[in-house]
Order: sequence, then structure tokens, then C-alpha cells
Amino acid sequence: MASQSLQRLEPAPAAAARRGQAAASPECGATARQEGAGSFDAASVLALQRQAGNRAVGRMLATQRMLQRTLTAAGDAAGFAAFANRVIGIQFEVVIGNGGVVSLRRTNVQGPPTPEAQELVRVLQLVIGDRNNTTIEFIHGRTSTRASDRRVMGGSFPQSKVDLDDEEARGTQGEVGLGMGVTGGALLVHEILEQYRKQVFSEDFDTAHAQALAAEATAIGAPRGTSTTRTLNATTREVTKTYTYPDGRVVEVIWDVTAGNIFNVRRRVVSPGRGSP
Amino acid sequence: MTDGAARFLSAGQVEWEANEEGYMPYLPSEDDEQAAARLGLDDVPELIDALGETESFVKAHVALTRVTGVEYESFPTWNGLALTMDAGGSVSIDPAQRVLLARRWRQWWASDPRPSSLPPGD
Repeated sequence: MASQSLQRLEPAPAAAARRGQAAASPECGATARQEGAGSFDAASVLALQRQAGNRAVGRMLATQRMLQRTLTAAGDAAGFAAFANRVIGIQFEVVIGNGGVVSLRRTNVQGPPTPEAQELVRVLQLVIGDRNNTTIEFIHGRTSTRASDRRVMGGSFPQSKVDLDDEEARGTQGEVGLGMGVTGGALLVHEILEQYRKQVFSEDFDTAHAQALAAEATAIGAPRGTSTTRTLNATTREVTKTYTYPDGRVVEVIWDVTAGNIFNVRRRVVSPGRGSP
Repeated sequence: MTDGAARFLSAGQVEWEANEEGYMPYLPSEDDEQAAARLGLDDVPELIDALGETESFVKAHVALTRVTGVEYESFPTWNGLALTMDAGGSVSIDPAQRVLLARRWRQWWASDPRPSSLPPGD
């Protein structure tokens, strides 16, 4: 595995020091890690020299760059790309390479991106630009027969899975309109960033989820306010999330969850906000 | 204790997932699910009593939340139950919080009309 090769060649103290720095200051850490995606610090190069001798280092660095895997889509990788490209729409497209390696490619399709498209591209660039690998399995919860998939509601932090059916049920901003609360695109941003924080920085759920919520809020254009659940019957619960936009507009998004799958998504403008007729 | 509550509480422990909503409890087996589905408001006093036991308080809290239909948050706590899940998926729950949870459920049960969510318990 390429990522394991990288870890073996890199001295543990240097890796730990960088990880600690990144965890303490995620914004700076993210930038540093992006810049480091195709380069190596002095400690890493020294380790390579000790292992291989100076003449071989150049060749090894080149090999590592080629082997570098940064975001890997397992399961229905093509389904992930299709949904991500529905969200992004313009300027970029998600491409799946050999082994599920995810990359972003520029396109000639012009126009202003939606907020969720901008944030999805930013998060994908962040994760792809990190030399440490993040792997996510994309599933279809409505048709999967695996018992563990019944526990994937949108995503699963411990299982590193995303349910494309659940994300598609919430649609994209291109489909439901801007300013209508959470969408599948915003939640895809949430899940990818959350897995990145877990797998690369070893963050617990509370920490990674808080980061994911911040990115989700950027994608939506409003923070998630109250979020409540109530049990409707033995098999179904109802989830209600409230979003307040900067102009005072308040939107509720409600859906039902049965057997870990999302159905019957409703959106309601509770308050039209300032300046609305 | 009612047969339903006793049967439910004697089975396996709650398992936890974490997703976009926050934390999510799961019962470990189909038998457990069926036992939970048979619980009703008649079982509430016994379930509240079970909140006092370190072995059963999490399961009792999950059952009470389901049976009563109260509205609840899933993050940062699950209906007032504080827990953490590390990057490996291991969950930690401090049993000391069962005292406050029991107080909150007793307040809720004694209220007339009963509120749509658990009272703070202060």
C-alpha cells in the first residue's frame, strides 16, 4: 500500500510533530499539509537517505509521488463521482482513477458555483492535497443487504461509509434552490471532511463532527440551529433541522428515517426574513 | 418490574453509531428490538428505576426516550446522555451521570401535562 510505504519511510517523531501542529491549528495545518503533498521535509529526506543512500533518493521520491494516494473512493466510486458532479456542476469535475483514487479536473463549463459546490471543491482539494490517505466507502443503503449498512444514516463515522441514497434524498442546491437549508451536497462535504479529520488526524467524533458542521454551514450559507429527533413508531423517527440565514430567513428541513434510510424530505420557510415581500 | 421491562433490560447492551445527526443508539439483536417494541408507558416507572443501576442505565434511558416519544438532540449529547466516540469507534460513557438523568426523567414523568422534551433537571 502506498500510504503505508510513506509512513514507514517517514520518521515517527516528525510525523507526530506535524500531526500535533495540525491538530492544534487546523487551518494552518491544512495549508501546510496541502503544500507538503508533493514535497518532503528535511527529516523525511534524511530518513530516505539513511535507508537508501543519496543516489537513490531522487528516484524514491519520484516513485512516492506516483504512488501517493490521497482520497480513495471504495464501493460505488462511480456513483459518488456522479453525485459529486451533480453538486459541483461547473468549473470542476470529480474523476475516479485506478483503485478508486479521486481527483478533480477543470472543465470548460463556466458560471458561478453554488455555495455547496464551492465548499465541496475546497474540501476535496484539501483532502486530495494531503499525502495521508482518506478512504471512504460509498454505499446504497436502500438496496444493501449488509446488516452494518442499516446503521449508516447519511454517513457512519466509525464505519467510514457514506450512503449515497441518503444524500441524494436531500438533493442539491441546483435542484432544491439556494437558501432552503441542508442539501445532500452540503452533507457530502460534511462526511468527507469528517472522515479526513478522523483518518488523518485521529480526531474523536466530537472534534471531527464540529469541524464537519462548520464546513456544512459554509456550504448551506447558514449554521445548523436546533436539531431534534422524535420517535414516530417502532421503526420510524422524524428529524427536524432549523437554519437561520443572515437576512433572518428561517427554514426547517424535516425527514423520516426508517431502517437507517431517509425518506419524505420536507422543507418549510418558517420566516421569510428581512426584505422579503 | 413488568415482564416487558425486565426482559428488555436483561438482554444485551446498547451499541452506538455516529452520523450526521450525532450519536445514535442501536440495540444489538432483533430479539432486543422486539422486546423494545413491546414496551409502553406502563413500563416507564420500572425503566426510571433502572436508571439507578450502572449496568442498565444507558439501555433504560434509550428505552425511555423511545417509549415516551420525547423530542431530543443527538449532539453534543444524546438526549442528555454525554458520551464520546474515539477515532477507532470505541465509546465511553460516565455512569455518574445516571443520577441527573434519573432526576430529569422523574420530573418529566411527574409533570402534568408532560413536556415535549426532558426538563433540565436543575
